[in-house]
Amino acid sequence: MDRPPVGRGALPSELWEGIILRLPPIEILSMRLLNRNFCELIDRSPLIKHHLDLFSAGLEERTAGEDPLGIQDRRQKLETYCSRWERFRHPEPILLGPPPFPNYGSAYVDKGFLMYDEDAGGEKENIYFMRLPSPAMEVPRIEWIIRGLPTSSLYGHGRAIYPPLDLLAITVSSEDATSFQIQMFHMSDGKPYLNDVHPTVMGSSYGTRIQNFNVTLELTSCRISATVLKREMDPYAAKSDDMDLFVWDWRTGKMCLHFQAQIITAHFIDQYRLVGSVRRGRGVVLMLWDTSNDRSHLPGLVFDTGPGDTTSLDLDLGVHDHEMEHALPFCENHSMGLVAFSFRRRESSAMGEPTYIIPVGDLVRFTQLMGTIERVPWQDWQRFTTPIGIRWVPSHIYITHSQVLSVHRANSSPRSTSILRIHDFSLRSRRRKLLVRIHGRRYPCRFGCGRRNNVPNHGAFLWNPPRTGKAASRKVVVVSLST
Amino acid sequence: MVLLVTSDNKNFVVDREVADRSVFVKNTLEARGLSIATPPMLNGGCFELTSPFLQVLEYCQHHRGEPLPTTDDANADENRKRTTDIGEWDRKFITVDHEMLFEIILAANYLDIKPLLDVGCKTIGNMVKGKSPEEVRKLFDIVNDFTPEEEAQIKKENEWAEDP
Repeated sequence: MDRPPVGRGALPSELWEGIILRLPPIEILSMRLLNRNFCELIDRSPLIKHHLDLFSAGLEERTAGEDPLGIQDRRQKLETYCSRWERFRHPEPILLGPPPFPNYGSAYVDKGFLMYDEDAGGEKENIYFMRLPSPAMEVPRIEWIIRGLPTSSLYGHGRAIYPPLDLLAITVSSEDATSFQIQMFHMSDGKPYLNDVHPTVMGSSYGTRIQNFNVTLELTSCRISATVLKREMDPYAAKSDDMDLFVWDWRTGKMCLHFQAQIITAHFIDQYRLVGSVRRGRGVVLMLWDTSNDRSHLPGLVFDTGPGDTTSLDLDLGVHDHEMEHALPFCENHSMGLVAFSFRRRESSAMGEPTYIIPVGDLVRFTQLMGTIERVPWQDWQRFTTPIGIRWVPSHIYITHSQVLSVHRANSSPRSTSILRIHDFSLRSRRRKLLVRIHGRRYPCRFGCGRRNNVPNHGAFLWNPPRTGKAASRKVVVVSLST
Repeated sequence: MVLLVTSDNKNFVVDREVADRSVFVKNTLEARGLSIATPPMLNGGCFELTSPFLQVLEYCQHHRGEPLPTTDDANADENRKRTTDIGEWDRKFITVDHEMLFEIILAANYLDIKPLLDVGCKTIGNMVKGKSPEEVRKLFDIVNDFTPEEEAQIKKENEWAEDP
């Protein structure tokens, strides 16, 4: 067994991490004073950061009895302390001019720009990470080279966002292109992350040759996930897009979820829980699962997005006697996000049954923005036998410039539904039908909002109501939200 | 019965029930499809040194037959982490010198005995609580490698947390 590093009190850091996690936040901060190793450990550990975040983010009721030092008085100060990680985030992606390499790939990361430089023979590829001191910087400076990798093996790129860790993740596929690895590096010095413990996270396409794939990575406090697109060469072939969702525990390297679907969007809205919406064919499967637990998933929630019916799905994961009416998960970053659900009782045609809202992360800003929104305990998701917190009638939909979404209850009867701040676009609900008004014209629809081409505020997707029947009347209208 | 070999080549024959307290041993045995009757040699040879291993065995024997904590119940796991209570027997058991305590924690971690790891971590946590950094350093023999400037900087960052 490895002997512990010198100066860290004779235990390996992951064990100290476990010990520190059991301390009250105030004690954790004073542990930073022990020596450099401890300071670094505490500053870099996402679990400890999360522990502090929980403490400051309104979960004090769980710890209040245990902290003799008075949490309320210090909460503000602790929030200030935790916010020091936020400064690494750029509000918008940074756009750069053409890169200095003839062949390149790129990925935006919060602190800079990633670039792959292929040499002429294509045998080797260097990955450069350029740090950007400011968004206005014109010519990126090459800070370091991560590692030379064979060009043929580098198929995708990913990014990992976790400011206290400053991780950069890169995917590398195998020679036969049926499996891939995810390698993680510290953005500060380019050193591999956890190289001594788990150098890579492996994924497999299960025999299917990966023709081309994109990987997106999100790093939560204890999970890495990747969506892998296996695109056939013929874009017109049936099922040309085949995607996998993988979720790993990055502390153990064990895979805890693998899901195949045609299109997957995954939203990671809480560091405890993971919410993914999986659009599969014409239906949507929404999955909630506990990121602290490999096995217990909340049963996925199936609902249809409009055209089509969910019975064509091979998953039937309804929750009790309710089915999902619609869900609009939005999450722009880890600190803020919100999911709205509305459930409809099976065997019932009534709309406007209780809609549940899950605010995530930055509750303070939400409440400032939206008025009173109660926090809904995640634990309640596991039951569903009791109403979850608030019952909202989806009378007002709110989309801010950052795609934060909320639903207001204007009054008890859901007469009007509208998306605000988008002047040429509104939704009305009348007699169980939703009408959208675009430039004065009305369209019957169900509604959803999204991003097109990854540009925020670009694209609202409107569906005709599925229950009105005819396939010919189904139509998707895309409007630009930016104009 | 199961034969366990420590890294200094001492052999221990223990009940399967006792050995199963260690998730690592349990999984190893199950993965190889071994029945209870077969005393297996655990290859790899890298268990702990004898002395902490004896302690760990004692713990396993005392807690034999208790249900292993499942990973299903995240809340229970959270609660277990948050409380600082340690059972009476466990407290006596863990009252050892620091070196042995560290060895036990390392062994519990390696052998994947969560409750024991928990007890160890809580014990150290309790030792740390309420102590100044200087005292903690002395307690665990930690070398302060900060420059005075760095230390002052961190102190400044922590200033508000020092005293109400």
